[in-house]
Amino acid sequence: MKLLSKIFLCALFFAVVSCRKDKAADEVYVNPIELHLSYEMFGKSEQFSTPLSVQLTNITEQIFKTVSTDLMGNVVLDELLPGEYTISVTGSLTPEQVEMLTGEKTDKGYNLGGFLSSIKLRLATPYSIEIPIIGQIPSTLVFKELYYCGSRTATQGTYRNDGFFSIYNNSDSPVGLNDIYIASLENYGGLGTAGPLWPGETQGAYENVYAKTVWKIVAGEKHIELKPGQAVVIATMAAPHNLDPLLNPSSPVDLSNADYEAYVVSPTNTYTNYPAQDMKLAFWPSYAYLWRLSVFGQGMVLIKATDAQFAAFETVTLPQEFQDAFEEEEYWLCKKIPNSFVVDAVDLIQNATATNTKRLHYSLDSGYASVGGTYLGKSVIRKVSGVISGITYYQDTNDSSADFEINDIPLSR
Amino acid sequence: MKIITINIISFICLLTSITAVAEQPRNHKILDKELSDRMTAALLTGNSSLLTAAERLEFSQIGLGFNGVNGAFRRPQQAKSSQLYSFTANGAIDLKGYYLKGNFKFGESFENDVRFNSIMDPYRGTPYIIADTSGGNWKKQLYKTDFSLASPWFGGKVSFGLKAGLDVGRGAKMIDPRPQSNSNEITLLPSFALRFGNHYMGGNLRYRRFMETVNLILYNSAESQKVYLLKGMGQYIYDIFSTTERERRYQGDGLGWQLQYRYTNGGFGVSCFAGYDNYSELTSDIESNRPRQRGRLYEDVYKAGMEISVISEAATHLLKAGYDKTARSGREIIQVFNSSSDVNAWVTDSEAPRRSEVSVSSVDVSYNFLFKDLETGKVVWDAAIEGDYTDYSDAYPVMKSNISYDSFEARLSVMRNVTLNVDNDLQLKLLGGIHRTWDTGMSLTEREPDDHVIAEGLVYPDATYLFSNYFSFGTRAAWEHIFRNGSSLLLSCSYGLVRSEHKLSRNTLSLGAVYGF
Repeated sequence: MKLLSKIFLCALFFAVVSCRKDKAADEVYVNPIELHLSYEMFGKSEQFSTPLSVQLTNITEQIFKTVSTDLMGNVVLDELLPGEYTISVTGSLTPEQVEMLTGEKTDKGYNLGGFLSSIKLRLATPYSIEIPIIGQIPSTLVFKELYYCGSRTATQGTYRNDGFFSIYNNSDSPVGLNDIYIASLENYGGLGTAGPLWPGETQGAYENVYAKTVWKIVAGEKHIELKPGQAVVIATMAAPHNLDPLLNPSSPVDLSNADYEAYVVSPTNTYTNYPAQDMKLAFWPSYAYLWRLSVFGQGMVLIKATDAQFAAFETVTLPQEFQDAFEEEEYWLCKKIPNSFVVDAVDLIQNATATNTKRLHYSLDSGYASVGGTYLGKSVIRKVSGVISGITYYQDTNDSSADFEINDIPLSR
Repeated sequence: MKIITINIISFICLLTSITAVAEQPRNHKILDKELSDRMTAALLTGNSSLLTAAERLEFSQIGLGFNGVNGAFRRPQQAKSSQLYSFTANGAIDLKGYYLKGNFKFGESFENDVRFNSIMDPYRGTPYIIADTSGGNWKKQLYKTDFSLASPWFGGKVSFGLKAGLDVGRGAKMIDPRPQSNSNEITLLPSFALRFGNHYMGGNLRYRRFMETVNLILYNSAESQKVYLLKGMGQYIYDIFSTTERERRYQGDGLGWQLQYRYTNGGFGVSCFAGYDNYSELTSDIESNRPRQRGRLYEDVYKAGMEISVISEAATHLLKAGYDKTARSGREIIQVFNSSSDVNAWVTDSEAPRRSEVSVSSVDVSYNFLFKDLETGKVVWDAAIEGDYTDYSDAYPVMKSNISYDSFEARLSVMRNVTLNVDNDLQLKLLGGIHRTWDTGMSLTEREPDDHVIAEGLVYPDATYLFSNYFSFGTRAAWEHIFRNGSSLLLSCSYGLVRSEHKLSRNTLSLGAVYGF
């Protein structure tokens, strides 16, 4: 009987100590974070003219929060749930403030921007966050509209041959197109996850862009320039998509008047070569005749480079450990282009919660643009900032989240 | 599947062989066994060694059953209508003092218009369910098998027992996104019992291991689907499901114990038990071939109960009382993707405890009065009154979302056994009940300002159901025929109706045929 008692007591002890409990934490929010933002003298000895806007995205919880600093760049971030965050900052300097900064008279202000990704906030942990802010003069040549998500057919099928990009001269001077390239960036990795980390880069602060496909917009030598307020439309397929019953009458666009087409010149290409000017394929090792973006979005950049400079850009292969054995070797090749060659950039991402999939450095785009779905037949388009002397100027704060809005009918504006 | 098939065949062989080796007088009557099960239910909650202290009824039974349910009064993740076809095989035998009892059930069910669900049983306790908006019809197969073994009284004082069970489920939905679910649960309950004269004491451990894998498949991957990764009380994160397949895995285990006591003296008996079960279950997604932990469910179940029986020649009085408290919490695991070449995987950054908190406490009391025929000793009338009180709360405090209510349900039933002749018995039963709720409260913070699918499709309809007052009505008729060789056949039919204050109803029809031999 003593033995039985011991067995029973041991079993009982085992059962009790095996209990796993979900012990409550003392706090549900992370410790408040005192954030101070400054750019040169502003935020230190001088006030900003307007508060800076700070957008926080909790990727883990899919929660968004926007707060404003005071004029000295101070803000307390509180009631934040733990998780992985991205923080983007936008603001501006007036021409007078730029003059204070440079000592030179100017009529152009600066866009201020900052971005941090992969910020892991935990409970009961003190944080000190530094966000470097940069100031830039707005680009002269910008993406005005991007249509990448595809459309539905009348039978609820899917169609994505009708993509296009329009490029706009957002300055008051003519801009030459001959040394401009348009490129779509790599989108390796699973949906909703940050892509592979390229060697020598820091997550969220890439010094280069990694392009899977690059086109030189003007194929020939003839000098082409865009006047202020002038746009060109670049089509995946410069076809009358919504007019041709063999294409997709449910498509929102007729691209037969597009200026340029991404046509792959090859004897084996059976697609129709429409009348639009063909761009020159500069880099696409794993080409598939039709340059169709992922319907979830990819980073898009405009690059300004001479032929010699472009030829010097390095071709790199995604490290072996990130590769999928089912793809051909060419699939993993990218053109590595330094950020300094990028004229304009728009990070197109799946939706507002996928900010961790951003590829672009905040100096190129501190935000993102998204139609928020697939096959919606909608585009993203830049907001108008004003009309001066009959020329429309589009908003270019270097933050696509603020600069772009959804256009329900692509090409309508 | 091969293992399952082998298990099924082996089990049926075991059950049929019981008849062959049995040497003792047998009672084949199925209605008698039903009564016996009710009388010993409180005593045998997990402790098979206490089978030694109960009447060792030997039997072999096989049965076919049908259960059909339909009606609008349901929880949102339940089927609008369902049909379950089942085959059962049960048996028990005394082998030189060792009492062996086994059960097997195979069921195939067709569940129509199931929404917001991707697992076999959305109400099994986990808050982590992938919900889609398309809904659809499920087809399921269920295999349940268990056996209980009780030793003789060694030295007249101690007995050991073991109960083991295996539940296997397979199910799939027929429309994109198509979850294909496989679940397995193993339970082991080693036990012991001590006897001191009329006093019996027992105890058992309970080990449980559960695993469910769900593969969501898009046949039409060109049409992406928004899926909601539920976390409890209407909270979720969403994902656009566009790849051809994604996988979710639930893996849990638990340990518990229970103590029992029984005293009998002539016609008087008192039994009581108290126990505790602890269970923990990890939920992971497999994303791009990399596991990502989502959350861990913690479950604590406290149970206690007692039963007093007074048995005389003319009547039996049975008084039962029970207390049950289940507390669940969901601990969310915050993982971040480390894309460096040496890791390239999801790694845990921190954990958020007690995000989802569910508490269900209930007290139930019942009294049965069984009136017997003095000549035959058979139960002629069986009247019962039962009452259940429940205190329910489900909260997600961080998002200020919660639902709570108190409810009481009273049921009254009357059963009449009629002996038609020597070979035929008829049993008729009527029952009715009312369910009342009070102290209802609800608050919901929606996760997305422009998407109300989960709020309007899942949370608010569930609250309407849970807060409803309703009445229930049921009836059962069973006819048992004894064949000349001593075997028996029971045919039964039952119907149940639940009707709410909102004039929504739920109908249940069950048909059964059991052959005892």
